[in-house]
Amino acid sequence: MDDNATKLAEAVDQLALQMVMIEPDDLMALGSLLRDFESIEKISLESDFGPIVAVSGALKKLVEKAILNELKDVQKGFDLLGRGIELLQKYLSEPNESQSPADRDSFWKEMESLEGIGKPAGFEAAPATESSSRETFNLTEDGQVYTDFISEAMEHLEAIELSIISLEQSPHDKEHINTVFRAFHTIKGVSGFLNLQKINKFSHAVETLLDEARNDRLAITNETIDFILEAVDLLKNMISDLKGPGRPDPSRFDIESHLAKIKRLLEGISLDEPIAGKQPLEGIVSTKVAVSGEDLSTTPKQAVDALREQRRGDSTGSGATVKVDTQKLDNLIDMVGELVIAQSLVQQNPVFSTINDQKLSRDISQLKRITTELQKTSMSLRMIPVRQTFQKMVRVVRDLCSKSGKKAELVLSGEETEIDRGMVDALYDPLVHMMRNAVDHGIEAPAKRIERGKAETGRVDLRAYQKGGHIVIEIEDDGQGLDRARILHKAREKGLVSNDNGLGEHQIDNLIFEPGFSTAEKVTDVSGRGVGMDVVKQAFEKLKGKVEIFSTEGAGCRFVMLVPLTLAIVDGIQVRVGEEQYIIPAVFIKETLRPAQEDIVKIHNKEEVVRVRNSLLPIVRLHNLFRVVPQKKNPWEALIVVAECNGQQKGLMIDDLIGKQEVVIKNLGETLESVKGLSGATILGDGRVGLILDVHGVFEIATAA
Amino acid sequence: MPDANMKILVVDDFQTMRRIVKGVLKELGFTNIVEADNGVSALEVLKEEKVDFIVSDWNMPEMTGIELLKTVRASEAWKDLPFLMVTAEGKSEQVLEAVKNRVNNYVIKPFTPATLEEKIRKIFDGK
Repeated sequence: MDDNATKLAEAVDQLALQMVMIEPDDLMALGSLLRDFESIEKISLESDFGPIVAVSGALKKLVEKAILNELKDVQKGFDLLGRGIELLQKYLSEPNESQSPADRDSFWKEMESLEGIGKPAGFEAAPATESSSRETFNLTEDGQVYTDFISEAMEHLEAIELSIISLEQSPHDKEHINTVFRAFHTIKGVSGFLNLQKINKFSHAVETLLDEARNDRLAITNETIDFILEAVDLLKNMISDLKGPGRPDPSRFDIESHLAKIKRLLEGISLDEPIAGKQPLEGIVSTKVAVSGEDLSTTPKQAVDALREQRRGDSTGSGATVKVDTQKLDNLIDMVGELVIAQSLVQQNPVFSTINDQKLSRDISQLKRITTELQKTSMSLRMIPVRQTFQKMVRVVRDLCSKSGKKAELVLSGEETEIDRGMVDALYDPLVHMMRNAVDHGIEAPAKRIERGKAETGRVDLRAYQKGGHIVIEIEDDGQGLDRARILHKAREKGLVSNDNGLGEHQIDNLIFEPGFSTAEKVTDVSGRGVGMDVVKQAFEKLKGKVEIFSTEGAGCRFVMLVPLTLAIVDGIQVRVGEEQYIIPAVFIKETLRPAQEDIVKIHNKEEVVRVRNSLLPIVRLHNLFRVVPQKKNPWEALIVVAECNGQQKGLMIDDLIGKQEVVIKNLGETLESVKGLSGATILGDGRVGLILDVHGVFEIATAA
Repeated sequence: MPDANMKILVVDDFQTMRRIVKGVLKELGFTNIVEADNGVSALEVLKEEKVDFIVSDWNMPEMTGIELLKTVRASEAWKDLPFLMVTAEGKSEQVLEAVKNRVNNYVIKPFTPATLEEKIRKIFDGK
């Protein structure tokens, strides 16, 4: 006790010395004062020096006010501080003598009056004065800042959707709350600078809500999660609105009703004691760390959370990245394509083969190696992981479940698989549709699942991986599978099949891809809007990919989707018709054959068909379609390429098969864009132009003719 | 005002925010600016380059501004490095925490070029 008294006396003397030197705006010195007062308060608390605790506590508050610039009268405040320290010195030097009460009383009285006036303005008051007194910012004229803000804010918002959903699963995971909080916090901060008041106000309100949750003063309930998701959507809309010309007035967004909701949620706080004391951010982080070391009664949940956090830490390692305008990127890739062609033109130049120079041929091979490598690298620039697209599905499944009252968990794998950037957007809608399909038609209602001896919560797997020259995306659910009897019934009813005896299981399953097919008995809000799986199939065919379905009745359904690695290159079969060369994308080709003369039949004297095993396929004479003179007039002299598209098969008649080739797709340009039957062109190894067949279009023309 | 050529490290996880801070600093004539997106990467920059002044946000993933401040102050090499903390409005407990940990000054978002200038002046004129 004596020891403490000496320590205190020394500390207070030190303080008195500091006070002489201090400037009201010297923050570092104020910080040191604050630390001193805190330690004095602590020691005196330990030693039970009642009056010192009170005075030093009050002085500490005074210093805090000084730091925060909240002193009403700086001079008076510092006078008081000096007098307080004197008071402390007196207490310590003459502990047994009573203070002159006048000194003490006047100190407390003034303290009281000052503190009374200077009561902290709270969380809301400060911004108004701060922003109104703001000078103009040149920054707001910097359009780039807006553009950056939009894209970055959207990224953050999308990223937090996933955290929110994880939060739903582990509502006490501080890191999830923090991530979500941070996004709103940052958007609030930047929008304040950019004078986007409505966004600022709204994100601030949501942030306040999350802050309460972060400090354990508000429980994370389903209601809260729903609201936060709504808030994300609203903010997304408000921010993407900024993209419009002339920064549109955001008044069309009704934030008031949302603000009212926040108020309601905040008022919903139970009036009991908070679950835990107010914890500042760094406190949370350190307690988390402390848990593993000190607290031996670590619960499994804490362990899991900690592990999850570790994993997240690994995955968020920020690689250095550069943002590039996609147009620039496409130009680069285009030019590299040209370079590859130019290189091969040089190499295949007949003059070149007459030159016998070792150094030249070595150099040319070196050039070829480099251009090939360059092409590979530039192609990879177009590739981005499917992660974002996949993660959006988590939200989709969640929303579907909450609407339909079903329970399902989406398990992602292979999110790091890369796909062509141009494919990302094209994939989104079909994937959403398939997710709806899985949850709405596949996964059974919880009660039914239990009845069937399955887990109450259904499982939907979303996988991506690379296989050969394709990216495979699989969606698998453990629901009820396809009801083939009902599919057949429906197909007959709609006149999609006339004679169904010969249909195999696989063929029946594939009926769901027929246009206008939909078996959902109840038309729900989300699926069964008359848009069927045929749209999905078309979407994949457009991407030069395909969808397959594997179903086991009662046990679930698996959709396998194949898309090419890139949209810039197509894996094709090079064929010749007359003098022209065409590329037929390999995914559409079933087989190539030379028919016997007796397999060719003319129906009604006009439509030619070829018999391939048990079926008759219409023949499409490509030379007629493209008006070129063929070498071979008769199908039995020529070759037939059996192509499949939209569930139909046709035989494309060609003169000759040249080989399999990967070709770089070039646009036909605006003027030829609408030409049916051709999807692009490529420059072949010999410098000639080869047209790429659009099988879809070819089938349409052939059917119409 | 301090040397216009001093190297300033701007730490914020939001790129737009860094751009804004940089913009304001440039308006004040400071052009020698390096960036980091959280405390961890800020420490990496500090190890690599000789930084004269840190402007750091509080709220960042992986390593927050206050953790960065504590680490910097605890290190022999950087313990006197001028440090300006950027905090959000209404977070007085953050300000106090930062001041207790020897921050040179703080500035509240959103701030004006004039405010930032004043704070920088206060930090460097006192030296």
